[in-house]
This record gives sequence, C-alpha cells and structure tokens, in this order.
Amino acid sequence: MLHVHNLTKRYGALTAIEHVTFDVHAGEVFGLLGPNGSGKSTTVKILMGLLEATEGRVELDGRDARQDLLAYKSLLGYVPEEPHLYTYLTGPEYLRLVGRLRQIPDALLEEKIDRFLDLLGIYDDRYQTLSSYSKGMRQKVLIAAAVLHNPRIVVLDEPFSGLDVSAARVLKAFVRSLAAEGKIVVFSSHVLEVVEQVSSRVVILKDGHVVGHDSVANLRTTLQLPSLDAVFASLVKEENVEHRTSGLIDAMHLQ
Amino acid sequence: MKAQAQPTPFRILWRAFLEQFVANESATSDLQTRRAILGILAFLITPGFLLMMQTMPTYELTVLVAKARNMPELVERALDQLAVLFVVYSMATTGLVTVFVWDVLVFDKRDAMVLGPLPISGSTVVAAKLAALATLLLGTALAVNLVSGLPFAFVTGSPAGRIGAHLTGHLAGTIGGAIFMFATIVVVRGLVVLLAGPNAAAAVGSMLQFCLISAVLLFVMTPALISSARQNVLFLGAGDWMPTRWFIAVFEYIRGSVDPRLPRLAVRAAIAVPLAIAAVVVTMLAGYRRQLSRALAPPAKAFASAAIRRRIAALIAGRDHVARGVSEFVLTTLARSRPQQMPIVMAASIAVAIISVAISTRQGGLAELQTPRIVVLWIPIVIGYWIVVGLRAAFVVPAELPAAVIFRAHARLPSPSFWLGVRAAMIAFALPPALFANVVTVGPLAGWQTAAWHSLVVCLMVVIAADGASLLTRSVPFTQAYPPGHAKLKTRWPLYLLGMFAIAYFPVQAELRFRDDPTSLAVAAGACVVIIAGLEIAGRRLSRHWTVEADDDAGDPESPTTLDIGMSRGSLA
Repeated sequence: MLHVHNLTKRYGALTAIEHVTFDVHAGEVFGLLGPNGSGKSTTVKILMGLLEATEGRVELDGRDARQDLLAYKSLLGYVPEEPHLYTYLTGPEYLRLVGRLRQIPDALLEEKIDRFLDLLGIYDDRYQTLSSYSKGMRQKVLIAAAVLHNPRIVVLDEPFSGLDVSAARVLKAFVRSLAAEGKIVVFSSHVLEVVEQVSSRVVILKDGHVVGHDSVANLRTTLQLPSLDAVFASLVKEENVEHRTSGLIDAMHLQ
Repeated sequence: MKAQAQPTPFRILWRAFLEQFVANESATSDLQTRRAILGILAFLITPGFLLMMQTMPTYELTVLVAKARNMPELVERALDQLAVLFVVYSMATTGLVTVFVWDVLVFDKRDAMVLGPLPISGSTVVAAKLAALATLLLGTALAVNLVSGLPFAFVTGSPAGRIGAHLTGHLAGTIGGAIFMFATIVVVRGLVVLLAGPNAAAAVGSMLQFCLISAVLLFVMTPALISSARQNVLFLGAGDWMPTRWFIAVFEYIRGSVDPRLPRLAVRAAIAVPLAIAAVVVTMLAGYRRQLSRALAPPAKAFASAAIRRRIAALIAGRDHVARGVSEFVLTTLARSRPQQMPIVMAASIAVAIISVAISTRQGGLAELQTPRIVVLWIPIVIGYWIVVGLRAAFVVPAELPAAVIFRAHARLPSPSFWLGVRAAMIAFALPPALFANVVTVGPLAGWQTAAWHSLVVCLMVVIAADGASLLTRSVPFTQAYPPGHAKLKTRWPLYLLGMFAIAYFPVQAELRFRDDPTSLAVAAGACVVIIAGLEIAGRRLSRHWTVEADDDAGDPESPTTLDIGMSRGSLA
C-alpha cells in the first residue's frame, strides 16, 4: 500500500500543499484531481521522489520512501504531464537509454522495445528522432518508458494528452488492466469523465488542501450530485461558468 | 560462454551526456553524431595546420638570421611570440567549442524530468556529467594542440636536443589554458542559470559566441597581430592578473626560458587550474541539487523583449497592423531564440574580423586613423551589412515549425504587409548596432561632427542593404525549413564580399570625395533615396509571390494520433 501522510510543501513563503493525506491500495486506480494551481503537480513530484516534502512522508508498505529512495524509484513508472524527452534521440534510442538505466538486460530490453513500438504503432518511425514525432507519438514513447520495467507503482499525469478517442479507449483499458494485475495506479487528469470511468477512489485538491477524498460513488451520494464533474465543481467552488462565459463574449465584441 | 557485462548507469549516462554535445534534432543520432564529430575535428585541426604553415617558415628564417648575425636573442623572442600565439589560440578555440555546446553544459529541467524518476543516485549523475565534460575538454584540447605541439617541438627543440621540454612546455601551457577557459565558461553558465535563469543564460551564450568566433577568426586571419601583441598586452607591464600570461609563463618556463618573472606567474596557473576544476564540480553539484533533487526550474520569464527595436520597426511599418505584427514576431523571435541568433553571431564575427584585418594591415598606427578615412568610416556600415547578411540566413532557420500554422490560418496572402514587416524588422535589427559602432569608433577617431554627418550615410546604407536582402525572402521568416544546399556558400561568398564593397566601401569613398561639395552630396543622397524607392516598389511586387504554405507534407504534427494497438501492423506473431 502507498500511504501519503500529511504532506506539506513550502516554496519560501508560498505553501503549495498542506497536510495532504491519502492511501492507494494495490489493485486500485486512484484519481488525483484539482484545478490548475491546486498542488497536483507538487504532490505527484513528491510521490515520484523528485521533490522532498517540507513535512510529511510517502510510505510504501509502511516504509518511508526516502529511506531508500533508489529502491523506491526502481518500483515506479511515470508518465509526466509534459513530454520531457531527449528529442535528438529516436524512439528506440530513448527507450534503450531508460531501460539500460533501469538495468534491464540488453536482449530482453531489445525484445521489449520492439514489442512496445510494434503494439503502439510507431515501429515504422523507429529511425526518426523524437523531434519529428507528433504529440501523440511522443506520448506513446512516454507510456512505453513508464511501464518498460514492469513497475509496481504507475503514476500517470495527463496520460491521454494528444491521443485520439480510440487510442484513449485502449489506454483506459490498459490502465484498468494494470490495476487488475495488482499494481498501484495513481491517475491525474483534468478529464473528469475519464477519471470517473477508471478510478475507484479519488482525492480532490484545491489551493493545496484536500477538499474531497472518497470513492466516486460515495462522493456523488454524499453531495447528492449526478456526476464527478458536478462533485468537482461543487467542491472546488468554481467561478460561475455563465458569468465567465458572458464576460468572454463581451471581450470578443469589444470594438 | 560468458555473458556480456551490462554497462553501468555511469557509463550509459556518460555516453548520453556526451552525445548531447554533438547531437541535434535533424537526423538519427548515430549518423549525426559521427558526422558532427568529424566536422568538429576538421574545424579544430584545420586552423592549427594553417597556424603552423604561417608561423614555422618565419621562425626558421629568424633562426637563420640569428645565426648569421650571432644574435640568439632573436630566436628566444620568436619562441616567446610562438608561446603567446599557441596559448591564446588554444584558449580561444577551446572557449569557442565550449560556447557552441553552451546549452548542454549544465543540467536542465529536461534532465530532471527524464532522469529524476529513474533509480540512479545523484553522485552517479553528477559524475557522469563531469566525465562527459572532461572527455569533451580533453578531446578538444588534444585535437587543437597536438597539431601544433608536435611540429613545434620538432622544429624548435631538435637543434638543442630539447624536443621533450618543448613539447611538454607547449602542451602544459596550451592544455592548462584550455582547461582554465573551459572551466570558467562552465562555471559562468552554471551561475547564470542558478542566479538569473535559463533565458539570461541563453543571451550570455550568444554574446560569448560572438566574442570567441571573432577571436578565432582573428587568429586565422592575423596571427602576426596576435603574437606582436605580446609586447603590449600579454607579457609585460601591469597585467599579471591576466590568465593568458600565467599559462604563457608555464609554457616558457618548462620550455627552458630563463626570464625571472616566469616562476611567479606559472605558480598562479598551477593554483588556478585546480581551483577552476573545483568550481566546476561545485557548480555541477549546485545545478544537480537545483534541477534534479528539487526538480525546480527557474521561472521562465521572458528575458529579452527587443523593446527599442520593436519601436523602430513600428515607426517604419506605420499604421499597417499586419506589418507591425510580422516585425514584432521577427524581432521577438530573434531576441529570444538562440538557433536564430547563431547565423547573425557568425556574420557579425566575420565583420569584426574583416575590420580588424583592415586596420591591422595599415601602417601609421593610431595617429593615422584619427582622420576621416575609409578604414574608419566603413566600420559601422560593414557591421550593419554583415548583420543583414546574418539576418537573411537566420530567416530560414525555422522556429517551432508547427506554430507556423498561425500564418496559414490567419494570413491574407499575397500581401505587401508581410514584406513591409520583414523589411521593418531587418532595418530595426541592423540599424542600432551600426549606429552604436558609429558612435564608439568614428566619433572618437574621426571627430563627433564627422560621426554625426556619417550617421546619415550609415542609415541610408543599412536601409539599402536591408531592402536588398528582404527582396530575397519569399516567406514569413522562421516558418519554413532550410532547403538543403540553399546557401550555396561555396559559390556565393564572393557575392557577399562584393556586396560589402558596394554597400560600405564605395559609398564611403564617395562620401570622402564629396564631403566639401554640397551639390554632389545632395545628388548622392538623392540617388540613395531613388534606390530605396525602387527597392520598395520591387519588394511590394515580389511580395505577391510569397507563400505561407508548409513544405512538410507529413501532415500536422500536433494532430491526435491513434494508439493502434494490434491494428495496422497486424498480429504480433
């Protein structure tokens, strides 16, 4: 079990997140939601061991992740929100770099890379550098890199970015399959319909604080709202949509 | 059978960091890496050969003269000059190579996001980066200095049986200087990123590139000028703080010179090198801590806004909103994007080298330059002209090609407004440095009255140059990929030189001839205005053939793609 306990992160005077606590169980897809600036990215970076929390800790099976950060990271797979890649490498070269750094034996690595590229439909583009890849193709490379080493924990930050509808359907099924295999899956996205479909439980952040933490069904029942979208709007107290829309129309008509 | 050992993370990262130095994004990396390494070796070795060919015959002639006149001090002085030449050349060339890889000298956010989630210790990452930097440095320093060191040692050391001492002195001085230069640039890069952010670092990088390209060009074109500077700048007087002198002292001390000042200066070099290396290690650790451990990048605030140039362009574009939009796009891209700055930096360096050669090959010294002469008055125009040449080259270096869709989506072409915007941007970009050069060179040398009058000529010539170059543009700058072989540099460089004489030399010659004849001056100015008007008419007509269509037929790279699991490629079997 992944236990996030009382995480607080301060950048000088700015508090990005405060007292964030939740658990993610093996075999579960856990949704991490929040508007821009809510502290989602900070939480994900702390989960990934990229950032050190000012207070609190991340525990895996009761052990503080930072006690042996390298061992913890070796169990993680991560699809970042932004496609940070060495774009002068080809797809296979990038996967080879990641796989070797994860100490996957060469023969096995080559087989895995070929199969991933083939299954993801980018095998024919294997001689092109990532700079020439489309956004969706880069996303596929990032997905492959995240699961190449068969990680125990998979953190997906906006994994559907750039993928079309049918690709998104396949990926949704893949995410569910990862959970069915007993992996711990943390899923962060702005697409609430998708989160509602794949996640068993969610945590909703606003201004660095947890404002909702339960199963989607329980949240809907408790708040007596029909969808996760409505729950989200209610909990983060979004600005009046109609008011903002009319403001946009007014701005468009300015002469 | 023994299984092949798995490469360690250190080795994998060392290689990955090393590839970053030579990689670009236009070709598959293996092929590109090999080509880049060959290109760099040729770039480093060729000037070294040229230097040897220029200096060794002179040295041997000096030896003969010294023997004939029984003046051994002539040989010693020639060896001193060679030491100055080789050490400063080594430092300048190493500095140039270092600033060419400026963007990957230290860790960045991409390293943090790619390597951060992986199970690799920080010490491994930092050690691999340092090892890659050391490999680059030693490869550069050896390629640059062995070419000159071996012939130098054999030619100058063999008569006295001191080949070993001469070679050791040469390599110690030149490679020591190279290490110091390299380390200093790496530390500057790291500190600028840490203190001022990546945008400031990019601006500093372009400026350093300009200085070092100019320095290396000066070496190739005027080695005698550099070596003769020894007496004035590099060796005597109150300049012991200059690092070049410390490494020249190492060179000369080990070679066997008996100058009593050498040991004191050489000790400084012996202290400076380890200190510089230690500073690199500290900078790298700080960069690692900043980018990898904390995964924090400095805020990406816009650094350069080109505000003055944008105002000048707005004045030229007038009320044409499209032209103003295009000129702002061009100037802001140039201010913030290093790939586009590179051709301009190269062209400006050529201008500096040409001006330096022209001045250094004249007799008479400073006093002779203090009267209005072509060699002084053409300086601002030469700078403006070569910046325009660089601009023209920069326009075909694409910036974010997919973003060019905004011109396809919103443009109403063909439209003279696009050409007017490009023209305004070119004038606004080239004019300020040309006028600045007028103030700092013509003013002090030829007098402020002459400089004020000459500024009008500078303006007219830069406008003509920009108008002429803008006629060669067929699309919105930075929106089309550079067609291979388009530059035709091997065949067109005489045209660039002829252009320089047409824009800078002959107009200044006419200015000097007609300076006391107001009627002739008015006629010449009128002719310039007519030329500018003619170029504008031609530009407006040619703009009808402009295009904003993309060359790339691969489709929109931003379009969504299909995951396509097991679909188009059939079964896995």
